[in-house]
Amino acid sequence: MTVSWSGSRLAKSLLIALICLVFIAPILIGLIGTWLPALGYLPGLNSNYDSSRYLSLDAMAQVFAHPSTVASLKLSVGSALSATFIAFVLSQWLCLNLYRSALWGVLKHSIAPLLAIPHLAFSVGLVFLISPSGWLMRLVSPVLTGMSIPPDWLIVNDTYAASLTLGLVLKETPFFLLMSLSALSRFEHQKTLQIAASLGYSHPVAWQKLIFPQMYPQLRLPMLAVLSYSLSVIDISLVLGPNAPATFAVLVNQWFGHSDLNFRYLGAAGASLLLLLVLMFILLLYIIEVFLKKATKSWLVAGAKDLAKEVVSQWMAKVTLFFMLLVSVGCMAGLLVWSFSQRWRFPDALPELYSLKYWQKSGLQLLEPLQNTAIIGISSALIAVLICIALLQWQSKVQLGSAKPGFKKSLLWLIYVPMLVPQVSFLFGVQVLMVRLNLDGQLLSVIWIHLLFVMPYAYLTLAQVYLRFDERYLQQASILCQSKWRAFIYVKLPMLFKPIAFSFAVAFAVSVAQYLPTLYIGAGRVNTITLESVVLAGGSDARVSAVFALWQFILPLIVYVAALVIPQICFRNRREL
Amino acid sequence: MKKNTDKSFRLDNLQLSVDGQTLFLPVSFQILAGELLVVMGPSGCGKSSLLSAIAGALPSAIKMTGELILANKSLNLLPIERRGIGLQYQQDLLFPHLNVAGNLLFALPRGDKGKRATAVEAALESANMQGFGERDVATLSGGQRARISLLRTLLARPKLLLLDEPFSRLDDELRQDFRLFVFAQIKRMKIPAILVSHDRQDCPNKEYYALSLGKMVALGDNNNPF
Repeated sequence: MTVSWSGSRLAKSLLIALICLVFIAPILIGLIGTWLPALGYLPGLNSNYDSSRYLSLDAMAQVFAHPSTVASLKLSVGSALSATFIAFVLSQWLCLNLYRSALWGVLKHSIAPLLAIPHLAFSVGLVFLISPSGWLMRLVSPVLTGMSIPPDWLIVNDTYAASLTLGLVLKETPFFLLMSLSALSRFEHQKTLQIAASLGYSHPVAWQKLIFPQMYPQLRLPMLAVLSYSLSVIDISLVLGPNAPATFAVLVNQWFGHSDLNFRYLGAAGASLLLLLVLMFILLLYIIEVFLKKATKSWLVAGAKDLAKEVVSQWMAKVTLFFMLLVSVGCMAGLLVWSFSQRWRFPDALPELYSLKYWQKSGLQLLEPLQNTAIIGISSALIAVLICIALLQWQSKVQLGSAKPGFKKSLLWLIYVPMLVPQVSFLFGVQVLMVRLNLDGQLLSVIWIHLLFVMPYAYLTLAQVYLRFDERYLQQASILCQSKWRAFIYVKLPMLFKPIAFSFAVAFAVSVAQYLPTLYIGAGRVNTITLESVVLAGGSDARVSAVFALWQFILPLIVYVAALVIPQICFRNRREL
Repeated sequence: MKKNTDKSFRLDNLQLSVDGQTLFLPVSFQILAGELLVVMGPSGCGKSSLLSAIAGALPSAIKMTGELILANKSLNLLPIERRGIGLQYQQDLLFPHLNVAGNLLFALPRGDKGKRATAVEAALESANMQGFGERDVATLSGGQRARISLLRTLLARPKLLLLDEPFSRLDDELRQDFRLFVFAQIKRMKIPAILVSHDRQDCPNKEYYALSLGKMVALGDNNNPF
């Protein structure tokens, strides 16, 4: 279906307006609500504050004067940059080396389960694996280490944030792999590689010169999203990151929660500083890109046809993939064993006594958080998927496929905004607004704030398949049943049921994992499994932590399995669906 | 077709099978330098698989027996990048991150900068596209893209050219132009070429073969080469 030029222009404007309203407006309000206190203006608290400081940078000066700030910033920047860089390079190296190996299928199939493990549950599992009293140490003790008590080593919560970096790398590499596979599917990569090979280029060189440059534009935004997430993540930092000083996002969160209300100004200034850091890194990446583009221009066409040795790097890539899978399985297995253990002394490799006690004990305690998590997750995922379907239907109708690349790019940036802006940089402002409107601590408000973070993921998982749908099916169906709505409901939706269900599952998983939005907008009155898990992760009883972390994993797992199984049952006799 | 010469391509008893099922009966033929063999046949008869087998890009599920000889050398054990074969698909597959000159330079072996630039200029001139070097490939018309794509393939100086329905995406007028351009380039380069096609118009002479009902048969009024 085509629309007139002016109609198309109107539709585009309306589309941008809708996206702005849904994705951008809450963030903008939140940012303003954070910037104003950062500049010394916070109605309600200002009675305690020197009025000469209104609209000044005093709060920012206080942030830099704080003894922990510089060290915290170093830790945050160091861990975020290294985690993003390592995960990105690792994902590309795995793609390059495993593409032609038999493990390419294993890699493709292992991404979904690796992504399904929530960051927090994974982090708790990693603690059980690598800590001095963890499974790895138990497996080699006392035979290899001679230790009968856990060593006094600071592995987890180390002062260099190495374990935090490791956790982030292990969790973000599968995300980059998923994005890379999606980027690969957008062009004829297989034939491109064949053309390059026929021109005499070895596989690694062809990948570096032709495949990566074509993939990169699709990976830029995910990379920035990972960087922003790593810079501002709080729940994982609390579990794996250093304590004194903590990472900067944790420090900002501590200021926001300080009993002295004047620390809110510090918190707001710190949150704004975090946003500035993200913006600075976006600019830095742009400069690096421009530089690399210029620097590699002649190398790309220099005709270098070095036939690199692939055997060693292919073998190393296989080992790395095996290691990644092993660590993930080890983390989850560790959680499972701990959750059923009654007595597990160091250095025993397995518990001495098993029990269901901790699962049973957690039942009553978990009922409310589980209920809340499920309600918030299902509601936000459902609303997000419905809005995404509406948006995508509109997009396919106005034929944005033929729109200018610049427009499509800006659309994608708008959708990515909630993933690029650090949560702590605007949630305080939203919280202030919610308090003013008497909406804080309510289930509906939490569903709304989750919606904001869930929507980009729902959109990104669904968009590609949805926009590729052959509209002629719909035209044919509309003619046959003489109703566009019936054609849409009885033909298009069933044909797209599988990706819609998957998009719902991803959205649900994203909602379950939300920590900071639930904490700020729930105001302590809306308790979810993730909030409980963070509190218990720092507790002394590993068994209780394991049960809660596993519940955080089980809920999205159930939805993922349902999203895979239900379409298969519905269309069990339909090979093409 | 005539007897073997240095630049010819020969295929001896080539047979492809998937899970023990043969795609077509053993095929043998020889193509001399500057000659074009057109292969036709219904969808799924194995035309593209035949080209993939020659290029060395067969999916692992398809098993090949038989011998591939190019310029008196066996290709069987060589990987695709060492076979010296030019590939041309339906899609032009121009690299979007490189400009026109970049796409052409990509195909040239490493060497003197000036000589490489001259080779690119000469190639563009042969396609009446002088001054197009700095253009973004996205700004080219369908016909121009097709020509640049072929020039890129030929600049690598392949010893055999494989064309997998390269005209099928072009409209009638462009198709005829590009067809003549391809035939002229094959003659000029004096290399053997194989063209997979659905269109009898794609035959420059009356020599063409069809993969049909599992075996290759010669059509037209040429002498049977088998």
